Amino acid sequence: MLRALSPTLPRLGLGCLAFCLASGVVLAFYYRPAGNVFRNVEEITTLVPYGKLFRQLHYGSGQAFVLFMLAHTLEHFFKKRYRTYSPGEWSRLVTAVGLCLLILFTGFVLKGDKEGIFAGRIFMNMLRAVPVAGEHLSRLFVRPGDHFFFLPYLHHCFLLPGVLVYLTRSHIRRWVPGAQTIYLTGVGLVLFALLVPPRPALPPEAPAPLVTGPWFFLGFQSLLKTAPPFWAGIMPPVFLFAGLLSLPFLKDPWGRRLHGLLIGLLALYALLCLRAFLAGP
Amino acid sequence: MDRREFFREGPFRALGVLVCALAAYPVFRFMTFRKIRKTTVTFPPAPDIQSRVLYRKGVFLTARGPHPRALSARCSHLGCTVRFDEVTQTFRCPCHGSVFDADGKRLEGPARKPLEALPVTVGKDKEILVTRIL
Repeated sequence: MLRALSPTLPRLGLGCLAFCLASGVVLAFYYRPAGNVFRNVEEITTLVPYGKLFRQLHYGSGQAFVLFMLAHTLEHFFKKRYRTYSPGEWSRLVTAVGLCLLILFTGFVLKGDKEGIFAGRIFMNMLRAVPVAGEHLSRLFVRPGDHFFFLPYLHHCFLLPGVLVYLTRSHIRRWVPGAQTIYLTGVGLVLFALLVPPRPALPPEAPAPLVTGPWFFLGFQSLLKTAPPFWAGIMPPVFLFAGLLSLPFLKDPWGRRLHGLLIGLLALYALLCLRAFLAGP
Repeated sequence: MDRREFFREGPFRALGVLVCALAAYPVFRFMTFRKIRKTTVTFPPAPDIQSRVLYRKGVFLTARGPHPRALSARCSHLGCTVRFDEVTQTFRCPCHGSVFDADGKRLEGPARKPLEALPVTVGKDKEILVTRIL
């Protein structure tokens, strides 16, 4: 059964990516990253015909694509396929996963609600904690003021998806989903969009005792409560991605040790996210 | 690459890297330039606010003592907007749990600095003007 899943996951994932890109293009006709973004998103959800459907379709397909992508990468990681494929192919996969998470994060910011604005500010201030280049680095992603949403919008809609499609181009050619997969993915996603309502959004000025980030950021949110931003928010993902990228270049026993260490760290982070999801960060 | 090839190709490759770095620097500086922009938040005259804590557009105004004091609502940890808890008379950050007293001094949590104190001026109609950087 697992062998049958192996070629199915990329096809389903690419089907989700197609729906995500298409629904994103539709949403872009009404979404504006300036002025009162929260009101704009609320209008899409409640006023614009089929706005809620397209918003949930975009959300659901994006989340599903990233989950398929993570499952695909973890499968390669646990089966140590980075030893058989070329280092370039493995690094493209790992970089694509990082980009996927960044696209989800910028999408979370673009909701324009309290959670989104706070997530953007936290990300900006975390990047500022990077020694020497932090201040400049933060300005590449988010800027305070009236145009707060412009750079996340630019990254979410153009730069990051462009780079992602470029990195996965060989996969897209090899695993292009057939009509049956597209039909199956479409039915599943439309059912999700019709049956699952969007999460209630907090207006930016509403008082809230607790504000949480996206699901994959909850672990960092917990760490940020106890450790300085550089050690809690910058170093762990840098170490994780650097470790994953360097796996094909290390020979045993160092390769085996790093593989084990990364499994431990990933499991620890997953537990941290789960704990924060269930009991609050 | 053998030694001869290294000495033949090396300087050109180094020159290529240098040219790329020289071209990337102005691009990076352009993309990361930030113009400092300020905004002024207006509050009612001091007698009207008495001992309350007012909030407007990212600024808290407290009227403890003879002079009103303005504090930035941005948490000094990672920039979330703090809220004022009337019961405990403290500012609390909803993101990572930092707590500040009514004067903005840090009491607990991951923040290391107090809330930023902002300059306060009085307008010609005795309204209170607070300037903050966006």
